[in-house]
Parts: sequence; C-alpha cells; structure tokens
Amino acid sequence: MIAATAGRGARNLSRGVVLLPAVIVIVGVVLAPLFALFIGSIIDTQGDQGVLTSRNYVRFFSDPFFLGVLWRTYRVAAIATLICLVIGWPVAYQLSRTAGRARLYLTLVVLVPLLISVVVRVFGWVVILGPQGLLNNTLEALGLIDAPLPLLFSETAVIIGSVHTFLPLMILPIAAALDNIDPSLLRAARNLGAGPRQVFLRVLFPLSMPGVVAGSVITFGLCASAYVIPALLGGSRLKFMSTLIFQYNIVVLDWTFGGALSVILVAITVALVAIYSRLVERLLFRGVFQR
Amino acid sequence: MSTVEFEHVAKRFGGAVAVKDFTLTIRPGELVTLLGPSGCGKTTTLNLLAGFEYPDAGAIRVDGQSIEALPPHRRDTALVFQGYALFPHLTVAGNVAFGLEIRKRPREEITRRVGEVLELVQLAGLADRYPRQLSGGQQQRVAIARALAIQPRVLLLDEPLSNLDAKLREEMRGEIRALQQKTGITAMYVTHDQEEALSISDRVVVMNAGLIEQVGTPRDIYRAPASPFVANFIGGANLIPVRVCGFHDGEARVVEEDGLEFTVQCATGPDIGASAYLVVRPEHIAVGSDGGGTNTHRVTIDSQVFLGPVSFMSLRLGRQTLRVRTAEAPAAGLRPDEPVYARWHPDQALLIPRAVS
Repeated sequence: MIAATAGRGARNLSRGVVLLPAVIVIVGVVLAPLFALFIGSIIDTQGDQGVLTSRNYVRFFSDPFFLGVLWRTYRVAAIATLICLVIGWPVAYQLSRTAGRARLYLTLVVLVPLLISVVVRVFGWVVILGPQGLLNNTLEALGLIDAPLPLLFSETAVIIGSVHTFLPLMILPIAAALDNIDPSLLRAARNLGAGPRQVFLRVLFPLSMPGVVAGSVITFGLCASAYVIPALLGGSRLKFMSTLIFQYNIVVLDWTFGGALSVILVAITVALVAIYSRLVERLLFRGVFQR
Repeated sequence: MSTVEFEHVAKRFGGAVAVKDFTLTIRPGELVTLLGPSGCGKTTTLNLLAGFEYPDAGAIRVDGQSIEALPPHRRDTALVFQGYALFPHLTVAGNVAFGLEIRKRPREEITRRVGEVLELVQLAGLADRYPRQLSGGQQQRVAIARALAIQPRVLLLDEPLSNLDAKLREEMRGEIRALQQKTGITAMYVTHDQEEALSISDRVVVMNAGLIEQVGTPRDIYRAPASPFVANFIGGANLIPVRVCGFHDGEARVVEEDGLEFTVQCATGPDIGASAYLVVRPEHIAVGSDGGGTNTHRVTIDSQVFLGPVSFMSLRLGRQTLRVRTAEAPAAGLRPDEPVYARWHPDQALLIPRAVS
C-alpha cells in the first residue's frame, strides 16, 4: 500500500518533470505578461500612489465605437471559421481517403500556405483585390463592371485573407478525425438503407466532430487575434481588436487602455471557445464525445 | 420469407478470380452457410449479395427480382459485421433504430420495434448504453438486433462470432440459430469454422478457390464428402490414394501404392483400375495390439496429444500418415515393445474419385 502510493508519487513527479519546460514557457511567456497587462489596466497611477480603477473597462464597454469593433472582430472570425469549415471538410475527407505517396503530396499542397510568410500571402490579396488589381481589371476588361469594386479594405477582404491563411488548420484536425472512423461503419450505414446524404449526416459528420471542434477553435482563435490580415486588408479605417490594440499601445502610447483591450480580447475569445465546445460536446453531439 | 438465387455469378479482382460460376438457391427461411478457408470467395459472395461488390457476370435475385445492379442501401439485406460495426456515437437504442429512422417510420413504430427487437435479443435493460460500455457478447446482440429491426428480406452474417471467446461463441451460435428459426428469416452465414457451420446450418456450401465444392446438409457434407477437399476440410479425414482392384457383394477391394490392401463398402461398383481416394475419418480408426482381420495394418505411432475428452495420434502406415482421434488416453493398454495395429470397419470408409495428373 505504502509502496504503491510511493510509486504513484514517483510517477506523478516524473510526469511533472517532463511537462516542466512547457509549463515554464506558458507561465512565463503567456500567463505572466497577460497578468501584468491586467494589473496595468486596473491600476491608476497618481504620483507614486496606485489606485484600483475600472476606468478603462467602463470606457470600452460604454463606447459604441469600441463595441462595434468587438462585434466586427468576432463576426468576421466566425464567418471566416464557418467558410473554412465548409471548404475544408470536403478537402479533409478527400485527404483521409487518400493513401500512401499521394496522401503525402496532398498534405503538402494543403500545408503550402503555412510555409509562406503571412505578410507575403496577404500582400498577394492586396494585388488581387485592389482598385487596379487583377480582379477589378479583369472584370472591367470583360465589360462586367464600369468602375472598380471596393473590394480591398473591406470585411470581405479580411474574411478572404483569413480563410486563405487558416484553412490548413481546419483541414488537418478534421482529416485526423476522419482517419479514425472505422470504414465498416460506413458500410453498415449503407447496408441499413442510408444513401450518401444520410451516411454523411448521420455517421461521417457526427464522427468528424472532434476534428471540427479542434479545427474551428484553432481557426476562430487565430482569426480573432490576427493582426497582419486586418491591418493590410481592412485598411486603417476598418478597425479590429488587434489593430486597435496596436494603435493604443504603439501609436497613442495609452498602455493601460491598450492592456484592457488585450485582456478583453483574450477573455472573450476564451469564453466563446469554451461555450462553443461545451455546447457541441455536451448537447449537440453528446454520443461522439462521451467516453 | 424470401428466396435468394445466384445464377452463374462470377467476380474477379484484377486478374484474380474471387468467385466463379456460383449457382445456388437459398429457400425461404433457410439458413445457408458458406464455409471455406480464407480466400475461398465466401466473403466476396456475401458482399455481392449485400451490394458492396458488383458481379462481373451472372444474376442475383431476391424473390425473383434482380438486385445485382442495386446499390447496397436499396437491397434490404441486413448484414451482421465481423467487428459488429456499431455506431459509437449512438446508444444501443439509437443503433437499433438507425435503419428505421432512415426509412422514415413513424416515431411510435420505431420505439415499439426497437423495444421488441431488444427484448428478442435480451438487451431490453441496456437501451441507453453506448456500445463501448457493453461486453463483446452484448455488442454482438446489438448488431443482430440492429439487422433484424429493419425486417430485411435476407439476414447476412459475416463471421459474426470470430471476435468472441470460445465459450461465448458456442452460446451465441445457439442463440443466432434460435433467433433465425423464431423469426423465420432467410439467412446467409459466412464462416471458416466447420463446427460453427455444421451446428447452425440447414445447408452448407463448401467453397474452395472461388468454386463451390459441395452443397448439402451438414450430415451429407460430413458423411458423404463429394471431393477430397471437402473430406479433408470437414473433420480432417485421412485420404489414402488407392487403385480399385476388385468389387464383390457391395464391397470394393482397393490397393494403396505400396501394395497395402483395404476393403471398403460402396453401393455402386467403381470401375476396376480407377484411381480413387480412400477416405477414413480420424474417429473411425481403432488402435490396438491385436493384428489380423480386414483393414487391419501394422503401424508405428509418430506422436500423441492428450486433450482431455479426446486424444489425437499420428500414425505411420507405410508411406501414409493417419490422424486418429480416440476417446481414451493415447496408447492406453499399448506396450511400447508390442506391435501396434490400426483398423477400421469397411462401412466406415468411403471412396471418392481421384483425378490423376
């Protein structure tokens, strides 16, 4: 009994040692700075005296402009995530059905966007979507439009850029989930009378949910916090939380309000992701996640 | 109750023949087993009936209607899979209801039918469990319930017991047979286990290398194998290559290549000089220390295995090896220094034709 407890203690200890580097990185690089930002945003310095204040948060939540930016950030992130899911799921399905060398090549094709700098990729879209860009020139040459469409510096441009950038991160987890589905389940479904549509709705899609949740959480989180994409494709007037944070910290040098913005972005993103995954795992697809 | 007909069905995979000229009629309410070693084409035949494969030639009819071109979901053939293939994200009730929901049956009917079928397989209390919370035997019952729920025209079973331990296998085998009898459903059962095939079937189809070797009741197959393959595959009979040298009064005299002579009962006289196999079942050979008499030959004991209720012996008779199965412990009453004799009664052996190359 004592030996067993001691053994378990030793095992826990060794597991702790293995995880230590990761814990140090997360605490030191993520949690500590975030905590510092949070403290900075709730303390008002008057002379050498610090006073607790909710000023920065009241300012944010009482100004329709800031609330509008918040709403736009999450709306655009949600739309981009949904589009990634709709485009990515069939690709993931194809990937999971491919074997051997072909699969390697297909995976590489999927991953290519991640291998190119985000700045380069986004500038590519500036070239395509701009007033004298590839798309507008082509449409004009074809006589389909008279004046250039205002494609660049719009939410649409940000959504396009986000989908292009984050699509692989949606595809890979879904493909992994689809790989785990026993092929005989699909045969069983067909044998019981399910046509292709029913097989998808009742078996394939529900069983891909672990991948869908992982992929959409990653995509949504990255979309909401992306900086380069809204900065280049949204322009200077169409603000997002990330570009606003940059502006207050680097341009305005209002670090306490900038800190509050960062804390709000992180807190709401975490909350939304938690609500989403709970909703899917506990209510909508309980059986898939039930262990 | 449905009739299933296969007519000259053939299937190749690339250059390899999987099934060749397969013709068989399964009568309404009959349980027919396809038995054979792996690669004999039995699973392909099942897949052809289920619609997972399409035949290259021939026709498959259920109740007179050609189905060989229909996709699997239009065939009304319910398959019990080897690994059960239960939907992990659905409860037991959800699994059983699956086919009925696809068919858009009314809610009350589905509930009632699921209850009935789970009752039938004695799982009524486990409707809300998930497959992973069940034992192997219980999962097997769910798989059967799911197949029966849709009241298919044909029930297909693909090695359904191979994932169970020996004791449970025997138990489930009886239950599957009882369920099939109770529901009166036409069934096709695929297995490589001869004991399973013999115990469960109305008729057995023995297959080898894509061809039907023999179709018959379990008794026929065992007592009167039509080919050396069947004789050997079912019950591991000893096959001694012989030549017929005489026929008199319902008994043929045959001689083995080293000149050993045997007598065997046969109804019709074979051609004198014809090549044949003398088939002797291991359980029909007696081993003792007294020589003399028909079909009694001196042998040496190669090896012995004691298995409790039965024992196995391997004997050497000239150039032939004989497998023997006895109820006694091996070599009981035999003294090592005494000569040993093997014997069998002429009516317990039989002759089957042998092709000479």
